[in-house]
Amino acid sequence: MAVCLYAICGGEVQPPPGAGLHGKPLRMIRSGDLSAMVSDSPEASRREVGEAELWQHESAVEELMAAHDVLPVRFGEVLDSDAAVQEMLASRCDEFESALERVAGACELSVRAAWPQETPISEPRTGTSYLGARADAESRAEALARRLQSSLAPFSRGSRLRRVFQPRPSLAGAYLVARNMVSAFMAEIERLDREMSETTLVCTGPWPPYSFVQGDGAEQ
Amino acid sequence: MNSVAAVASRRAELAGHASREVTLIDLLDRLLQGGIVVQGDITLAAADIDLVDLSLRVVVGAVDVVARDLRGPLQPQGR
Repeated sequence: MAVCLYAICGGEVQPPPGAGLHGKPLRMIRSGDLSAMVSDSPEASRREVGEAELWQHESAVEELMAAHDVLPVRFGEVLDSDAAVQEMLASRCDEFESALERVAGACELSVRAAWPQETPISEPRTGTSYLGARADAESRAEALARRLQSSLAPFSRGSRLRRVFQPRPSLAGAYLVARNMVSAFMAEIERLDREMSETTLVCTGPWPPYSFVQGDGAEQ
Repeated sequence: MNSVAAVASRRAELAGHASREVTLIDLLDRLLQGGIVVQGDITLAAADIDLVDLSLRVVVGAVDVVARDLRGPLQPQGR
């Protein structure tokens, strides 16, 4: 029977009591030093997938994360059988073990920064003023990115910061933060938000470390 | 139910419903673009829809609300 994947963690662990997608019970599949949390995939009738299902996936991962370090799996991954899951775990065990080391004891916090915009870039304008407005937005974003990185580096173990242009110019950051540093990190965000009167900072989390499981450069 | 509690616990700087919408976009970013990837392209077996479609479906609407709330008072959209 096909199974939905939620997360991978180290060692032999008990599945959390909650349910996975469409109320299917969660269970663990073990291979070597790794375990994958799965549920039986709903079959036959096609189910609507939307926000509720995304939260079911997220809740299942969070339940496991409450007691273990986890590598969250992208939403919607379905494998054919328990055996296929074991095979996948075995063939990628080095990658998963080093990713588990990287995220050990940490969670992910999201920070979005946005600032007021005098004239929306999307409004029809001359080419020159469009480019000017875009250049302003870019230099502003760069300055803000530097400031965020230097202020938040002491509170985080890693970060991913990217520029967003729609619906408006802004920054979207993901920070890998030790669990015992979460409140200090949040306090720093609040401090920065007060200090930067023109910029709005929004922090959400803690999330499972979705943005830090892929490894970067050296670990790929 | 569960989702509302999760959203509430993530409420951050912004007042009102904007924080819920930001949380939803953060959720989408993570679940669909982050995480361990097992197969290259995914069509959700259970629903036979593409993840990009799902993303669009959930995020449409949310974006407008976020844009409006971050910008402050509602401005004419010109469309």
